Amino acid sequence: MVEIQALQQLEQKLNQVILGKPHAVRLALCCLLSEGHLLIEDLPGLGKTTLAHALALSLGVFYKRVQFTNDMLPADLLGQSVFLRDTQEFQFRNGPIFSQILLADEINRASPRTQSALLEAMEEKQVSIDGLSYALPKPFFVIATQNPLFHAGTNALPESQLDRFLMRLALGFPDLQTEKLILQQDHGQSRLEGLTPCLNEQQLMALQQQVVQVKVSDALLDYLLALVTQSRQQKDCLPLSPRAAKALLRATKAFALLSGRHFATAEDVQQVFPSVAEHRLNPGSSRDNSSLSLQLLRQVPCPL
Amino acid sequence: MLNPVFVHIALLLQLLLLALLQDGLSWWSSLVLVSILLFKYSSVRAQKTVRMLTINALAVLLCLLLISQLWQQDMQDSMLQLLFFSAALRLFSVTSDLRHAKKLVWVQYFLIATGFMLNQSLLFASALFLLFFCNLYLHYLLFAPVQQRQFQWSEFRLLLWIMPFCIALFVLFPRLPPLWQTDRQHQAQTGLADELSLGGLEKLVQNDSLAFRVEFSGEKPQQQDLYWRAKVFESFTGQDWLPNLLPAPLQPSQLQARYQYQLVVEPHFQRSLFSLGQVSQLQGQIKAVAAGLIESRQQVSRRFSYSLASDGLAVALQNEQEASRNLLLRHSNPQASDLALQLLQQHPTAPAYARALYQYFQDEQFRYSLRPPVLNQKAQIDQFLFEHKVGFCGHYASAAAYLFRAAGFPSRVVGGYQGGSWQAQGDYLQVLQKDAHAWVEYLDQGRWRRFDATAVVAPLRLTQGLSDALSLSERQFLDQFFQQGVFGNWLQQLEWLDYYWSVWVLSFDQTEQLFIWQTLKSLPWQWIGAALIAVFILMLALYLVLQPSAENQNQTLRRLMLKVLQPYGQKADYQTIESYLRQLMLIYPQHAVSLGKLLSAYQRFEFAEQQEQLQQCRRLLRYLSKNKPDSV
Repeated sequence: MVEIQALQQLEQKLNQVILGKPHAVRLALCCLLSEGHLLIEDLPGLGKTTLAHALALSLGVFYKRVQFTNDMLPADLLGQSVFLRDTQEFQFRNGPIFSQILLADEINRASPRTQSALLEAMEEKQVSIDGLSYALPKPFFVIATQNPLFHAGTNALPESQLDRFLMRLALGFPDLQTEKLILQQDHGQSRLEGLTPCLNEQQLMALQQQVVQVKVSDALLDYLLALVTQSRQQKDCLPLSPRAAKALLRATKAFALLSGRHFATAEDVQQVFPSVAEHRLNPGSSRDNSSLSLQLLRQVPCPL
Repeated sequence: MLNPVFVHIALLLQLLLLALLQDGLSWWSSLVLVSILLFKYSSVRAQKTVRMLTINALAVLLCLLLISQLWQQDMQDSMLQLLFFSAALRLFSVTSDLRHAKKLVWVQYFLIATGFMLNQSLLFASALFLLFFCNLYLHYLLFAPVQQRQFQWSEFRLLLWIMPFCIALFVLFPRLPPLWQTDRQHQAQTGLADELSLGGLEKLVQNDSLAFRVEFSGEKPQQQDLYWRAKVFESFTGQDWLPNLLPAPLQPSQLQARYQYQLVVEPHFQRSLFSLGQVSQLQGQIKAVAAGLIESRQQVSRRFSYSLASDGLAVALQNEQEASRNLLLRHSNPQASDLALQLLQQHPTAPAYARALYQYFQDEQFRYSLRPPVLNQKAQIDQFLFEHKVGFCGHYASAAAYLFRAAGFPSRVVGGYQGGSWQAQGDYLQVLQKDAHAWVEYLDQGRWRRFDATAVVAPLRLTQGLSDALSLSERQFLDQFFQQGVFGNWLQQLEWLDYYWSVWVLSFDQTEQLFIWQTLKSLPWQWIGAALIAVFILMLALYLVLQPSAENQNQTLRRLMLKVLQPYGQKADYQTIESYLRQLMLIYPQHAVSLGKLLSAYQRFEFAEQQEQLQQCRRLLRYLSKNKPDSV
C-alpha cells in the first residue's frame, strides 16, 4: 500500500511538470509499470523530452540520455571493445545503453542500423558484442521520442521495431488556459529542477509485481480478445499480434493499479487501447494517431 | 481477526439452545445461563471487555454450585450443565484468541448433539438441525477469507451435495451400543401408574399426548376389540389395585397369528409394553412376562419400536396359583358382597354371572363421568355401587373385579389403553394417553375373559372415543385440555410425518441394518454397479445443470441494469457500462450518489468477482427503478 501512495504522489508531481496532460502522464506511468518501453511522438516543442526527463528523474533510478543523429553508429549506443596497451588486452567499454532508463531522443533521426541495434537490447534486455553477451541492469526502460515522419531527415522505425514499444503516446497541443499558465510560470528556469525521486528501485519492482497480480475476470479477457480478433478481420489496418494482446493486458492491469484498484475493468481496456494498439495497427505515423484504434473500439460491442 | 458477527450469532445460538434443552437443565442453571448471556450481550453492546479474573471466579463458583447439587440431580444433567456453563463463559474470551473461538464451536457441536438425548421427535430434531447449521456457519466464519465473510445463500448448495453422504452414513454407520443407547432416569413419568386407585387414570384421561402408534399388516381388529393390555393388577388393598405378578414367563403359543402389527411407543420410562390379547410371536428387544404381558428388556426412555403377532383370543391361565391368587379379598364391602352372593344364586356359571353383572350396571342407571364425586368412606366400592353410581373406567373395573371375587370367580383388573384413532386413511392407529382405560378379566374354562362394564354404561366410549361418550358440559370440560378446530387437520398431517419419522428413522437399528446388508448381498452385482453408476451420472448431471447458473448471474445483472436504466438514457453498443454510468451521473446529478454507488458495486461484482456485491447492485437498481427521472 505504501508503494501505491508513493505512486500517486509521483503522478501528482509529474502533472505539476507536464501541465494539462494528466491522461498522457498516467499512460506513461502505466507503460513503465508494465515493464514496457515507451515511444513519445509529437511535434517539436510539445514537451516530449520534458516528459521523458521528468519520468526518469522522478523514478530515482540510474538513467542516461542519448541524442540520436543520422551519423550515429551502433557502437556509440552499445559500447565497444578498446585495446589497452598496458595489459595487451581488449576491454569492453559500456555504452550509454547500460542504464536503467535510456532516454533515446529523436530516435527516428538515427540510421536503421543503429535503430536495430536497440532491438535486441529492448526485447531481450541484453547486448551482444564480439560474441559476448552482456546483461543490462534491471529494471530497464527505453523512453524514446520522435518527430512525426513527415519531418525532414527522419528514418521511419520498421514495424518490428515499433512492436517493441508497448505504447506510443502523443502529447498534443495544450488547451489555451494551460498554455497561458505555462507562459505565466516561465521564470527562466527549467521545470525539471527540484524534481526529486518519489520511488526507489525496490518500490518500483514491487509495483511491477503488483501489476502482474491485478485480477482480470474471464468476461473481461473475452472482451479484450474480441478487440484483437476484430483487428484481424479489418482490411484497412495491420492485425494485432498475440504479443500485442499481451501488451494490452499488461497495460490494462497497470492502468487499473494506477487507478487504485486491484482488479481491471472494461474501461481500463478502452483507456489504454489507443496508445497500445495504434502504432501496431498503423505504423505509418500521422498527426492524428488514434483514429484507427478508436474506430476499432466502436466496432466491437462491449457487454461489460 | 474474529468477525464481529461471530459473537452475536453465538449468543443467539446459545439462547435458542437454552430454550431447547430446558428438559435437561434445572431452573437455577437456566437462570444463571440466561443472566450470563445477557451480561455478555450488554458488554458487547457497551463495547467493554470483561476481566478474565471475573470470568474465572464465576466459573469456579458455578463448578462448586454444581458439585453441591450433584446429589440432587442426575449425573447426565450435571454434565450437560457443566458443558453449557463452559460454553457460555467461553463467549467472553473468544475475541481475544482465535483458539478459544474454535473450542467454543466444538463445544457447541457437542451441546447440540446432546439434545438428542432429551427428545427425538421430528420437530425437535429439525430445530436441532437448524442450530447445527447455525454452528456450521460460525465454523465457516472462523476460516473463511476476509472478503467472503458475508452470508451467501449459494453456500446452501453445498449442503445439498452432502445430503447423499449423510444418508449413506446414517444407513451404514454401525449402531454402537454406548452411542445409541442413553437412559433418562428420574423423569416425570407419563403413562400408566404402577397402582390403580378407584379414581385412577383421571390424570391420563386429561392428557392428549401420544402414547403409541400401531401399524397393522393384514387384518385390522374391530374398534371394540382394541384392548391394549399393559398392566395386570391382582392385589386389592381396599382402595388401590396393585400388581402382584409372580415372574412366570409363558411360552408364546404356537397358534396361527391373526393380527400382525408393529408398535412405536413413546418414552414412558417404564418397561411395560402394549399388546392385544394372547401374544404368539415377538420381535425386537422384548420378552414375555406373566399374565400374558410383554415387557421391554430396558426401560423405554426413547421411542421404541417392536413387532407382535396376536391370535386375538383371551389370555390363557398360567397355573393354579394364578387362579387362587386372584380370589383373595382382604377388604370387605358388605353391600357389594351381599349383591354378589345374591347374583350368584341365580347365575352359577361365570359367563352367566358376567351377563348378569352387565345387566345390573345397565338397569341401575350407572353414569359415566370424568368428574365423579369423591369417595371418602371406608368401603369405597359400596359407596360407588349403591350411593353415587357415577364414575369412569377405574371405578367400574374395581367394582366389577370385586364383585367377581366376592362370588368366587377369579378376576383381576387390567390397565392399558382402549381404542385409538385411525390416521392417514387408516394406515396406522394412533393411541393417545387419553385413551387410557381399565377393565376386568375373569377366569372361565382356563382363559381370562374380558369384562368391561364401561361397554354398557357408555358404549360410545368404545366405538368412538372418549369425547363422544360424554355429555356436552363434560366435553367442554375436556376441551380445556385438547386442541381442536382449524389446526386439527394440520396437526394430523404433522402427526403423520412424525409417525413415519419414528418408523423409518428412529427405529432404524442393528437388525434393520443387517436386513439391508442381506438384501444388498443377495442382489446381483450388476444391479449394484448399475445403481452406483446411475447415482454418479445423476449427481454429475445435477452438477452440470447447477453450475452455469452461478456464471450467468453476471449476464442477468447486466441485462437487468440495462433494462432498469433504459429510461435514463441509451447505452451505446461499444460503451462500457462504467462509462455509461458516469455519463448518467453527469446528466442526472440528483441520482449521482446512487449511480456512483452502483458503479463501484458493479465494478466489484463484475471485475473483482465479489459475489456479495450482487445484493447491493440489486438494491440500488430497485431504488433507481422506483425513482425514475421525469421524461425529458
